[in-house]
Amino acid sequence: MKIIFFLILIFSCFLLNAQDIAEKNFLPIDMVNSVDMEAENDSFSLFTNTKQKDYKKEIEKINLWNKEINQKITHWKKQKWISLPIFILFSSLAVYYSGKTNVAYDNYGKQTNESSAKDYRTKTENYTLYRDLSAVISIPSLLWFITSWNKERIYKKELWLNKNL
Amino acid sequence: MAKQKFISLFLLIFFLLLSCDTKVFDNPFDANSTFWNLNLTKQTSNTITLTWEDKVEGESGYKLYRKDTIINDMEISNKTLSVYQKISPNVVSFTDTFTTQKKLYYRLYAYDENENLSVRFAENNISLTK
Repeated sequence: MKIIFFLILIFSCFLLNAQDIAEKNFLPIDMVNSVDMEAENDSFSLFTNTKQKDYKKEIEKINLWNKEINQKITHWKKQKWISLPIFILFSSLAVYYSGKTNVAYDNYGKQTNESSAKDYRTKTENYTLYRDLSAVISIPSLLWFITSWNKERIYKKELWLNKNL
Repeated sequence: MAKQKFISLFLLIFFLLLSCDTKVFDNPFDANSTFWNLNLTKQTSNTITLTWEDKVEGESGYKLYRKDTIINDMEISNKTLSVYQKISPNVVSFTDTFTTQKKLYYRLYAYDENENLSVRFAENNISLTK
């Protein structure tokens, strides 16, 4: 059981790493057509000494960048809200089955005939298995939630910096 | 961010500990349980103290068998070997006196309200030769 648990932990770490690699190759879906709105932005004044053509290119670049960041924020927000209920569900199940395991084990120690002792032994073993499986699923989902939460926070900060440049 | 890390670490450790907790099955009435130990200590020239662990909560008591040769399962099931001493429930030690200088074999069973013996028993022997 512990071997399975550690294998899943390693696999979840691999998934996190794979997601990072995939993100580095993240490409924008479409281009931004209008730049007139950005012309009204205060940041536009930074480029007053360059030509009009260069302004448009710069603003287009910033818009594209912001759009890309927004897509990443949406992606990680979605991941966050998927992983959180999974974590809550399976961690609750793990705690529930942990309680059931303890009750079954206490009853096992009170049995004074073979058949009932065997029954409670089987019950304890089953509840332990359910508890471990729930914990094993909840840990990667917790890791995934933390990663998503952190990534979303980083990109939000990046977007905020871009808008206030 | 520090608070976030602390909560995450706490939850991770909690679930790691939760999944690593294993139960030991040691009820003598369960045939698949672990072995039950009986410790023998020679106290004086003619007394031995027997100690064991109280593995069951609802037992009616313990039955102790003693013999100067190896005790067989058949002797117990056929009742050809009589009970040497009945011990009250939840007691975990017994002091025995001896006059012989031979080897003594002991077996301890727990029993229920219907006088059924536990499947597992605690067994040990002691050499009393000088």
